[in-house]
Amino acid sequence: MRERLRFVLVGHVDHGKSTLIGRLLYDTGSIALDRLEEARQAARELGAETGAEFAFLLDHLKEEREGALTIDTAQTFFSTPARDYVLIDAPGHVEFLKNMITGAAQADAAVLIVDASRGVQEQTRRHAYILSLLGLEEVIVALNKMDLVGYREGAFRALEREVRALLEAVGLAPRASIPISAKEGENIAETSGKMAWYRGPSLLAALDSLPAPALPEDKPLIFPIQDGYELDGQRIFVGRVEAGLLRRGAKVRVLPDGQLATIRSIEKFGESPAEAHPGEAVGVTIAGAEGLVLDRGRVLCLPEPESEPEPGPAVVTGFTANLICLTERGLELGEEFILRLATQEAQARIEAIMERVDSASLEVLEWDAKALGGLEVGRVRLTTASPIVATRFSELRALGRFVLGRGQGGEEISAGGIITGL
Amino acid sequence: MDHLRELENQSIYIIREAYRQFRKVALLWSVGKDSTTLVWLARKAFFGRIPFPILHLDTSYKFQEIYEFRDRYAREWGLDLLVWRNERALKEGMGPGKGRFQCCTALKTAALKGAIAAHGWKALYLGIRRDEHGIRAKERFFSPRGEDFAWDYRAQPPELWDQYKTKAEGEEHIRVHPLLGWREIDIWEYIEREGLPIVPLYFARNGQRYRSIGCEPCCRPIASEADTVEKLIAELRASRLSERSGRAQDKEEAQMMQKLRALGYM
Repeated sequence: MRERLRFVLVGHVDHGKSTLIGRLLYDTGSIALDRLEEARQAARELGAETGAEFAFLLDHLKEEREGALTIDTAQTFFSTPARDYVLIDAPGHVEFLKNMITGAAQADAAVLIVDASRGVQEQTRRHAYILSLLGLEEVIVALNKMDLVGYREGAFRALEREVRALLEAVGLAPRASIPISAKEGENIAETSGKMAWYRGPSLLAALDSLPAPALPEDKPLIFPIQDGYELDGQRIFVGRVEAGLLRRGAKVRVLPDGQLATIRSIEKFGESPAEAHPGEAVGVTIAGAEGLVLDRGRVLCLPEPESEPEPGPAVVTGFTANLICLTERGLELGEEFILRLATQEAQARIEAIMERVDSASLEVLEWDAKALGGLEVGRVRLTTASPIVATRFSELRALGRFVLGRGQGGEEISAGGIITGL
Repeated sequence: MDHLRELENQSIYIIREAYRQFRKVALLWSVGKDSTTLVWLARKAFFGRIPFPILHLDTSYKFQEIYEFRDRYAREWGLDLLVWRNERALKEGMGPGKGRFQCCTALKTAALKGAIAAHGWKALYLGIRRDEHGIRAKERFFSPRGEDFAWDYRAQPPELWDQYKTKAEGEEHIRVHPLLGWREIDIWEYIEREGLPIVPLYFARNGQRYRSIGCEPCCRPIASEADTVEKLIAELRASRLSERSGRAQDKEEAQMMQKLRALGYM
C-alpha cells in the first residue's frame, strides 16, 4: 500500500520554483520523454535560456511561457521508492496570491524556496505567513541557487538564520533547511559533492522523512450531512466522516438542533458496512428520524460530548477568526456574506475587524479597522444569522475553517478563514 | 485508507456535491477508460441509480468497439444514455480531413454547445485528469465556463477546503472534474481492483494497443504486448512516454490544446 503526500512549493517570484519542479520530476524519472522534448522545443522557439525547459513543464499557458512566470497553481506527480507525491506549484507573483492560496490549501506540507543570492523577499514573508494561517506545520526550507554564491557555507548559514527567524515569527519551525541548486541538481535527489560542509539530508530525503498526514480517527464523531436521497421509499443521508468513527447502531445527536437519533445502517453501493472511518463518503439511514429536520448542513455527533475526553463541536452564532482576503475589492466592516463551513451555509456579517495586518510585513496596520484590503489579513469577529456547528481550527480542521461568498448565492468566494475562538 | 480508496472517496464526494448544488447536470461519457471510471464512481455515489443523463458526443468517427461497449453497458448499468451529434456539420462533410482543430471544434465543442443549449444543464461532469496534459494540471474541480464556453484560465476562482464554485450570472455552466487528482496508473489500478469492464482497444492485439482512445482517424496505437490489465500496469510503470503521445490534437501546432480548451473543448 503506497502512501501519498501532497506538498506545495512556495516562495518569491523568480526564486526558482518551476525549475525545482522540473528538476524533481527529472531526477525521479517522472517526466515523459516526449513532454520534455516538447518543453525544450517551446523554450528554443521563445529564445529562452538553457534550463528553461524545466520551468516550461508546468508553466504550460502561453502567457506563462512568454512571460517566464507562473500564473496559476498546477499539480503534478512524482514518486520516490518511499512514497508517491503530489507536487503543487504555487505562483510567486503577488498578483496571483489567490491562486497560491488555492494551491496551498490542498497541501499537507510545504517547501519554502528562497534564492540564496537575493535572500528573503516580500513573497517569502507573505507565503510563510499564509502557510501558518492555513495550518501547514510541516515546512522544509530550500535555499536555492547556491551555485550563484559559490556554494559557500557562510552564505547558507546567514540566510538560514534569517529564514528560521521569519518562520518562528509566524509560529512555524522548519523540519530541515537545505542548500540546493535546482538548476545544477545539487542536494535534490542526492547529497551534493559541492557542499561537503552540509551534513543534512537531500531535498528528496527530507521529503521522505515528513510524517504521513493523519486522519482524525481518535476524535469524537463528526458527520456533516451533504445531501439526502430517496431510494426505494427509504431516505439515505450522504456525507463524509470528518472525524471519529461512524458505527451502525450508534446513538447520535443532530446539531445544531440537538435531537437524538440512531444510525440504523451505513450504506455504500452494494454493501452495508458496520462502520465508516474519516475520509469515507458514505450514506446512512436513521431510526427515530420522525419529526427531525435532516438535510444538508446538519451535523451528526456523539450524543454526550461533555463526557468525552475532548469537547465536541459547539453550536454558535459568532466566533473570532483570522480572515484572508481573496479579492482585490477587499471586505468591509458590517458587510454580509454567505458563510460556508463544511456543508453548512449561513448568512454572516463582519461584526468587528480587531486588527488589520499586512500579510508581508506582519505589521498591524490598524486596530478596529473599517475595512480589509486586497492582500491583508484580519483578526475579525463574525456573527451568523442562524446557529452553526463549529470548532476551533486547532481542534478539528474540517469544522474550523470556512469561506465567505459574496453575491446572492455567495458565488464569489471572497475570503477564507480559520476559527480561532468561539 | 490507501490512495485508491482516498481518490474514490474524494471523487464520490465531489460528484454528490455538484449534484446537490446544480441538480440539472449531465455526465460526459467518451467511453474511454477515464469517463467509464467516472460513470462507475457516479453509480457508487448514487447507489446504482444515476439520477441524470449520460451524454455521449458522437463524432461518427469513433471506433466501432466504442459504440458496442457504450450500448452494452448503457443497458447493463441502466444509464439514461443520450447520444448527441453535430448533424449539420456532418452533413456539410466535416471530418479530420478538414483540419484536426476545425474537426474537434465542430464535432466535439460545437456539438457540446448544441446539447447544452437543448437541455439547459447547469453543470457537466468530465473525466479529465491533471496528469494528462500540462494545461489540465491547472484546472479546478469546479470550473466555470463563460457564455461563449470560454475557459478564463487567467482568472480562475479560488477553491479551498472542499468549498467549490457555485454558478453566477453570466456563467454558462460549471465543469465538474471529479477525477482531477487521479493519475493514469491510478485509473488502471482501480479498474483492476474493481474488475471494471473497459473497451478492448486498450489491450494488445497483434503487438499493438491504444493507450488513449477517441476518434479512429486521430489515434495511433503503441507497440505493446499488454493484453491484460495487470500487464498494462507493468508496462505503464516502465514507460517514459506520455499517455496522449498518440493523440493528434495535442500536437499539430504549439499550444493547440490551450486554444481548443479556450474555445470550450474538454
